[in-house]
This record gives sequence, structure tokens and C-alpha cells, in this order.
Amino acid sequence: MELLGRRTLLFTDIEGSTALLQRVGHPQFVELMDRHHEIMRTAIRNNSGEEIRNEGDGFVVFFPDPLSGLNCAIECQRRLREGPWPPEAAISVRMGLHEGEIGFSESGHHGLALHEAARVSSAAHGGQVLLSEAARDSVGNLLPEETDIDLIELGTFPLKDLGPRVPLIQIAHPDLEHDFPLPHSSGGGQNNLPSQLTSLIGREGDADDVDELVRSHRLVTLLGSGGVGKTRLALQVGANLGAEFSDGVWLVELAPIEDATLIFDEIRRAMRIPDDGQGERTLIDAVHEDNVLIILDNCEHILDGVAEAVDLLLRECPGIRILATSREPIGTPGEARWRVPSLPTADAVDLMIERARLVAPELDVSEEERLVLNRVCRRLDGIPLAVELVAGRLGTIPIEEIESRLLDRLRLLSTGSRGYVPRHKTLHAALDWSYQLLTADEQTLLTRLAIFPGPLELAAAEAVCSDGALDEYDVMDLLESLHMKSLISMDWSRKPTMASRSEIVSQFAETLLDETSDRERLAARHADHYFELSEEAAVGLRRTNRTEWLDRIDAGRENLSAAYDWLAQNDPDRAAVFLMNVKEWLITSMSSAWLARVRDLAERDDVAPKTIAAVNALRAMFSGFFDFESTAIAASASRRAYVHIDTVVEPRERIRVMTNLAAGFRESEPEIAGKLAEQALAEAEAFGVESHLMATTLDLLTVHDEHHEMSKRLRSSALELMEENEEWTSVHPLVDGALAMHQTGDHDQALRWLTRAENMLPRVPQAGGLMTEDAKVWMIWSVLIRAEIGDTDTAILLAEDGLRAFGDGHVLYTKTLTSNYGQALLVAGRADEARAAFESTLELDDAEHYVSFAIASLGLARLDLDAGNLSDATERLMSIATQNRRAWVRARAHELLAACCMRLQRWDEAQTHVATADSLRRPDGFAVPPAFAAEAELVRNELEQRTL
Amino acid sequence: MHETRAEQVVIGGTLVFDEWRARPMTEADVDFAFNFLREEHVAYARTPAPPQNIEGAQAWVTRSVTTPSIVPWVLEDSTGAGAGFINLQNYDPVAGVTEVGFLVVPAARRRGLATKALRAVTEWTFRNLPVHRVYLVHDLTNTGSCKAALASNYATEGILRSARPGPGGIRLDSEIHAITRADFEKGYPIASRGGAE
Repeated sequence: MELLGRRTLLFTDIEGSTALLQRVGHPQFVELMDRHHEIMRTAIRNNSGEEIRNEGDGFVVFFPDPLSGLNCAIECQRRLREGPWPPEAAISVRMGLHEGEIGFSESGHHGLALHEAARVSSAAHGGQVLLSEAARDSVGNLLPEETDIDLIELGTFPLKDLGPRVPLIQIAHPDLEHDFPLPHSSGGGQNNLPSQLTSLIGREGDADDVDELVRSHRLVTLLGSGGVGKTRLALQVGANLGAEFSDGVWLVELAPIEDATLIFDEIRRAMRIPDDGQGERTLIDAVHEDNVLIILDNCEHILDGVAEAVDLLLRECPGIRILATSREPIGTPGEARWRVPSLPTADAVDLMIERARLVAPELDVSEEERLVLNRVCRRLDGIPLAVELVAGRLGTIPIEEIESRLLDRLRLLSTGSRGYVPRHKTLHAALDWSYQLLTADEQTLLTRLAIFPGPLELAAAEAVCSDGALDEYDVMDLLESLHMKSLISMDWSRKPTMASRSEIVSQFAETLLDETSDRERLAARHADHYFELSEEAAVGLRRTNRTEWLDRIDAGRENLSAAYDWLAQNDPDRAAVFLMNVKEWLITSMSSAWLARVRDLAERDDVAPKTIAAVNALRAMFSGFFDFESTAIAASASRRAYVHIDTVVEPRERIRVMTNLAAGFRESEPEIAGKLAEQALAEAEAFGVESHLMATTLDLLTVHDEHHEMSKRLRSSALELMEENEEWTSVHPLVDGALAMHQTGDHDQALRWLTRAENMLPRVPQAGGLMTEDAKVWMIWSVLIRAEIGDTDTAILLAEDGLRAFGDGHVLYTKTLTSNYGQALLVAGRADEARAAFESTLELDDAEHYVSFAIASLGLARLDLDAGNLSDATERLMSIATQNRRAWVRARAHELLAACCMRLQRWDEAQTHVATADSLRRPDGFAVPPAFAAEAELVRNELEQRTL
Repeated sequence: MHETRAEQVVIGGTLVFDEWRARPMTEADVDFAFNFLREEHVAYARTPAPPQNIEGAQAWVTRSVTTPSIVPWVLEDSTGAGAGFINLQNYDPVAGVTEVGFLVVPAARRRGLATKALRAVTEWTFRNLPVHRVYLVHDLTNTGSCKAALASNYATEGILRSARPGPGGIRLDSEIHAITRADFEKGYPIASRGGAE
């Protein structure tokens, strides 16, 4: 290898190129790439750059000096900004400039510097140019006196392979964009860690120790009494190590969970892995090859369950590491236990003063007062939560008074002659002390908040906690005041703002609430509030801000569970309506726990007939969606609902019950399903409320085949409503419609609908590459449509992405995608691979019910035909032509049969098949897909010549 | 449906067939009726929602045993446990026509009870009442009743579109079968139905 010496390197990379390809399709993508290359190369030439590598969506360029590299990057970005680009297809490029030693051998350029430059560029956002420290150092001296170029220090960031903290510098120039989010730290995965708004004091060394421990052990438990700061430390470690876990760091809050069987569910949910009803296997299958850190926070109340879960996860998933916080060890073999120490007194005093200054920025602490605080902190055993509770008062109560009051309280608790106070009592004393200092209203509010088992929206506190004694309009101020006193914590980054408490404060508030007689009354109001929220959600979940609603419900899920359970117990009629209200959320983020709730309510006999109807219809509908129960149970639930349906008289409920039931009956009683659907639609139209008509229309679309007369009516009605009112949105009718458009020859419209549907897909990052139901449906039919219009490159790319992401989950989805993948391969001329894909599709049980069966069978027949194997082809096609219930499928079979007959020179028969195909296509306007049009045309032309 | 002109309450005889028997319904059958009508499969097959309380069931039983155009039997197994109902309804002695209808608990299905009961009641009807035609109407999707009808020599006569109000205000299609006295006296199977399993 030859050493070339020090070089300035520019790395560039198009941001989101795969998404762009999916959005614009292959032909336009190629045009965009050409334009990008042209821009880049012009700038590289103008700045004496040497193009070393071009990897499709990025360049590696060497420069003789750092300033040329810098100027080139600026020129590239300026030209890229100028475009012009087609709407929604602007190309945005991230760039990294670095300097280092480079070598050269026959196999190309080498050097650590190349890897480092790649890391710097991948930390940048589209349109941004980042410099490494090395590049900054050498370019800094070369900048002319008068220049528009400014170098902005962004701070240090963990970048993979480059060490824990690497400085990054951004180029600022009038021609460049300058507002960017923080650089992408490392190539590490996503996380769900809350942002820490306060600094970690006196724990830096501890965090380093635990970092090391997690690197060397697969299960680390942070032990310590309540309030000692286990959670905060675990979060810091999670953030520190984020870069080392390519599949992310996930915080799982176990405190609200009472049932140990829900641990897997909770982990799965935190990791945003959709449920496919396989229980713990869902999680294990999704993460068994992943490199993740899971933080299990607050394990102490369900230790046995946690031990089992942890044991299974560690055994089945070699790449998983677990960091737990608990008051007691988990007790699993291999557990590394680390006791979180109290803060040394000096650190505790620093913490107290810093926290106090958040509330009282002007606070000045004299040397004398510092000594007092020293004593206070020692008495508080350096328990951070206790320290923080006191800190909240530092600005308002004289320091001496704090000491005397607090010490009085502790003295009361001391046992024995040596004045020893057990730690948990110390904390309790601090809490109690803090509580006693609250105003009466603050005390009332803190106590009442105990009725919320998890984080809550501020409006919920207003609605549930206010009454004659506590004015609704004061609640907001009181919450802020409790936040200032470290008793609750407000997260303003969420919309709407959420309030939460530490586990210790929750328990403290619980005991306070138990001392009052308010619990039942508050529980009822809590249930009322979340019932009202579910009514809003019923509409919100159908609108363009659907994702926000899904997030919102998800964030408040512990409250929703508690409210639902209260309703199921005390007011099952409303519980049933509640379930119908949040149906969309149940479908997208269905958890076994909620499925069990539906099942339990459906099996109850002590409820009103209308409730029996509502819940059983829901249960039947879910069975159709998730196969979560046997068809026999689903059928029996449908019947149970059907028998009582006339007892549902409130129009909105009635329409929803009939709609759900139509879906429930889809397989077992298609005729009744159809009639119920008609009736539901008629009643929804008569009822005349747009939101209900829209919901009904969308739901009913799932009941029908894409070409059913009623489907067409529903689709156009859905579309009309969506056109009239931009707030309505749904992926299903669009994808369903796109398929129908495609089959009837309007391919442009089909693609437009697909794009529109894609824009509605949730943008939440998904762990383990798993996709939502909506995204899967979109992908499956995008592949088929793109394949059949001849855009096989996009189709194959999408399908391969999809097959990886679908995993082993829902077999029907995987097989359907496989058949469509086969179609793309077939059109692309990759016969052997296409055959393999089709054959794998046919392995599905009951395959003949599904479109995928038709696609695969027709595809195999076509392959047989191409291979000259006419008898196999004919046999397969005859069976499709006579048995398949879809007219467009039979039409395609007859066309292929015509082609077979032509080969055998049986012209009359061929003519008959073509005529049959035409007559099958005509009534619904089915068109021959573009990819097969030329071939069909050929058959027709040749036949015409023969018969002339 | 034609107007019925039965004036006198008719009590059916006790009919024994294999391990089963059909005995005339009495007012005392209310408990069985209550449970039976609320049984999921039975409730599903009938139009009105099942009785919500025992009074509702009592009304149904009383109406059955006191209406002259209805001749109701309870079906029992050898232990005397209820297995279903069969009855003549819309019985019109002037026109010489009656309808027959039956419902069987799921546990007794697939054991030929419906067919045996239908044959026994059909025979009893032709032997004891001035009837020339017995017809039977079932939901188009109810293959069980259809099989029993065909196996009992009831010929398929046609589809009655939107014949029955279903739950939720939808209308269901029915199929009508009938047997005439002439069919009955010929005594061999005449019923057939293209495509039936």
C-alpha cells in the first residue's frame, strides 16, 4: 500500500433517497439522480476536487487544500438549493468535511480518515455541511480576513467509531440554510428516552461506572431505596450508551403495571412493535437479532414476573442488554447488581442550590448558609429526591427556618437512642414536610392527582380534580406550583402538555388519598373524563391528525385502562361505547390486554342487551382483523350481537354496531354482512352527521371486495367526503381505490392515490423494522400496482424492503406480498425467482380465497406457457377460469388460455377465450395491466389476421 | 300469508320416534322455553330478540298453547330433557293448509332429530287434520332446515325474496318447501334440489 499523505475529504449523501425513490418511482428517480450528479460534478470541477468514489447517492472527493473543500461544499449546497427540482422532489444532501492520512492500493483508497469522514457526514442533516475538528483546525487559518464564511461550534457528540464525544462544526454562509436540529448522534438506533431538562449533579462518576458495567454484563440492576435517583441515573446511562446500540435504547416504565403477565406487552409497546397476537413471541421474534438496551424502570413490585421475562429475553435474544431499576434485586443468574449511593453531602448541597435557582434564579447563598445546607443535606442522607423537595423552598423560606422545621420532623421519626432514622422514613419525612408546606389547594390537588395512575394531560387534572373546593381555573397554576416544588414534573415538549410524578410521589399521594373519602367520587369523575376523551377520539382518530390522536391516547393509556376498568365494573353500557370510540386505536396498537378486555365484556350476561350487541359485534370484527380467536368463537360472537341488535336504538351506536357486525359476518355470513352494511349506510346517511357517515363508509369498505357495487359507492362517497373536508383521512379506501383504479385502467389515478395514502402513514420510527397494519396494506398493493404498470425496479425494491420488515408475523400479509413480488419478478423477466415466489404463495392454507392465489396461479401458468409447458399451463388456467370468483381473474385466465390455444394452433378456441375475457372485462371496465398489454394485443392481432 | 281460520285449539298427540319423542307443549314448559329461546343458536335463527325475562317466555308459551292456528310440541330425548320445539302454525282447516316449523338445540343437531321429528309430525298431520298441503319456510342460508325438509319429502318450491325481517331492519330471503297429501301418499322421495350437498 502506498501512502498518499494528508488529504481533505468531502463526503456527501442524499438524505432520504430510498423514501424519494418510493415517492417518485424509478424513472423520475433516475432523472433526479442525473441532475444531482451533474450539479455535484460541476462544483467539484470548479474547486479542483478529485472524485474518488460515487456510490449512487453520494460522492467521496479529495481536495488539494482544505479551503477548496470548504468552497466546494458551499457551492454544491448553493447549486442544490437553486435546483430547480420538481415539486416535492427537491434533493437534499448532507455533507461532511474531514482531514486525515490516506493510503492507496490496488483495491482502492484506504484509511481511517475515510470512515471518519463518513461518520461526520452522516451526522449532518440534508443541506448542512459539518466539519470535523481536524478539518476545522486546518481550514481555520486559511480563511481570508473578509469572508462570509462562519464556523459554528455545535458542541460534542458521540459518533460511532470516533469516540464518545467528538466536536462538530457547522459551516454558516449566506447561501446555505442554517437552522438544523442537533446532529444525528452516532449511527445508533432510536430511543424513547425523555429529554432530561436538568443536569446530573454528583453522578458523573456513577454514570461512567454503570456504563462500563452495562458494557460487560447483559443484565445490570440499579438498586436503591426510593428517591435515591435510580431512574435518573439509568436514563443518563441509556443516553450515554445510545451510540452503542444500533437498534436503540428503550425505556419501559413498569410502575403502573400490576399484572406481571403484561410485562412483555409493555416492552413491546415501548419499542413500538405492533402486536400480532402471539404474546411474548411477538416481542422475541421482533428483537431476537437486535442490538438493543432495554431499561426496565421500577421492577420491585413484580419481581418474579420480571425475572421470568428477563431470563427468557436474555436466553432468546443474544443482542439484548437490560438495565433495570429496582429496590430489590431481580435474582436472575448473571445479574450484576449496583447499589446507587446517596449523594456525597457536598454534591447534595450543589444539587440543592442548582435546583433552587431554577425556581429562584437570584438566590444567593452565603458561606454561613451553606453550612446550614450542609447539615440539612446530611440529615436528608443525600437522597436526591428529598434534596430536590427541599430545594423548591429555598427561595421562599429562610434557610434557618428550613433547618429547624425539617429537623423537628426528623426527630419525631428517629428510633432508639442514637437518633437513627431509616432511609425510607427520611424520604417520607421530606415528602411530608414538603406537603405540609403546600397551600391547602396545592395539598388537595396533589392528593387528588393520585387517582391518575399514569401521566396525564393538564386538562384532565382540571376536569377531574376541580370542584366547589378547588376552582377549575386555579388548577393550572397549582400544577405549575407543584412542578416548581419537584412534586410533579411537567413535560412541555409534549402537545398537549403532560404532567407526571415519580413513583415515590405517586405512592405518597396514594396514601393521602386513602385518608380521604374522595376516592370513589374521583374515580367516577376520572372515568367520566376519559369517556369524554374517547368520544373526541372517535372523531379525531379518523382525521388527518390521526397520528397525534394515536400518540395522545398512547401517552394516556394507563388512565384509559383505569377509566375503562371502572366503567366495565360500574357502567358496562358506557364501557362498550368507550371501546367502540377507541376502536381505531385498538386496531393500530392492539395489545393483548385490551383484546382481553373486549373478550371479558363480551362474555358477560349481566349487561343490557344493547351492550351485548355492541361488544360482541366489536369482538367479531376484531377476530376478522387479527385472527385473535377461532372462527367458531368469532361466529358465535357475531350471532350473539345479531340477536340483540334491535335493542340498540341510539342512532350513532346503532350504526356503529351494525357496521362492526357487518365486518364480523364478512366470512361466515356474507349475505347478512352485505345487508347489514346496506342498512348501516342507509341509517348513517339518514342520520346526516358527516363524521359518522365518514366512519361508517370507511369501516364498511373493509367488508367488501374491491369491485362490489357497494364498494364503489362507498369509495366514491369516502372520496367525496375527503375532498369536501380535508380533515377526513384513511389509508384503506385509498389503497383499495388505487387497486380498483389500476384494475380498471386508470393507472395515474392509482399512483396518485397510493402517494396520498403513503403520506398518511404514521411517521413514528419503528423498532425491529416492523410496520403498522396500514403501512403493510399500502406496501402490498403498491408493489402489485407498480409491477403491473412496468415499474419493476421500484416494485422489487419495495417488496424486498417489505419482506424484510414484515418478518414472521402475519402469514397472509407476507404471502400476499410474496405473490406481488413474484409478479414484479415475472414482469422483470426473472423467471426462476418469480416461480419460487409464486410457489411459496400457494403454500398458504385456504390460499384459493385470496387475491394472492390468483396472482400466483396466473403467474405460474404464464411461466409454464413461456417455458412451452402447455398442458400444465392449460390445466391450471382452466381451473382458475371456471372456479375463481373474481371476474378480472377469470378474464386474465381466459386471455392466457387464448395464448395457449394459439400455440396449439387452435384458433377457434382461442377466439372463444378472447371473447369470454372481453365479456368478463366489460361490465366493470377491467383493463389489461400495461405490463401485459403488449402481449394481449399481439394475441388479438394475430387472431384477427387468422380469421380474415 | 293467507288468513287462518282455525277456531278450536288442537292438541297434538305424543309422537315417539327412535330415542326421541314429541309431546304437546303445556303452560308448564316456560322454563325450558326461556332457556331455549335465549340459547345463542336458537336466538340467532329467530327474528324477535329473545325474551329478556321469564314473563316474556311465559307470554310466548301461553300464546303457543292457546292460539287455535298453532299446534305446538316439545321435543325430548329419552331422559325427558328438552331438545327443541316443533309446531304447526298458520294452520287453516278451511283452506286445508298448514305451515310447519321447528327449532332444535345445538346439542341435538346432526343426529337426525329435525328430520325424524318433521317426518313424524307430517305423518300425524295428514292422518289427523283436514290438511292437503304442509309447507315449510327457512332462511336461505339455513342448510340444516333445508336438508331436513328434503329428507322428509318436502319439495323445493322457490325463493321468497325479502320474506323475513332480520335483526337490524334488514330483510332476509327465505326458501319455501312443501309436501302435498298426494306426495305423502305416494310415500317415496320426490324432493330434489339441484346442487344441494
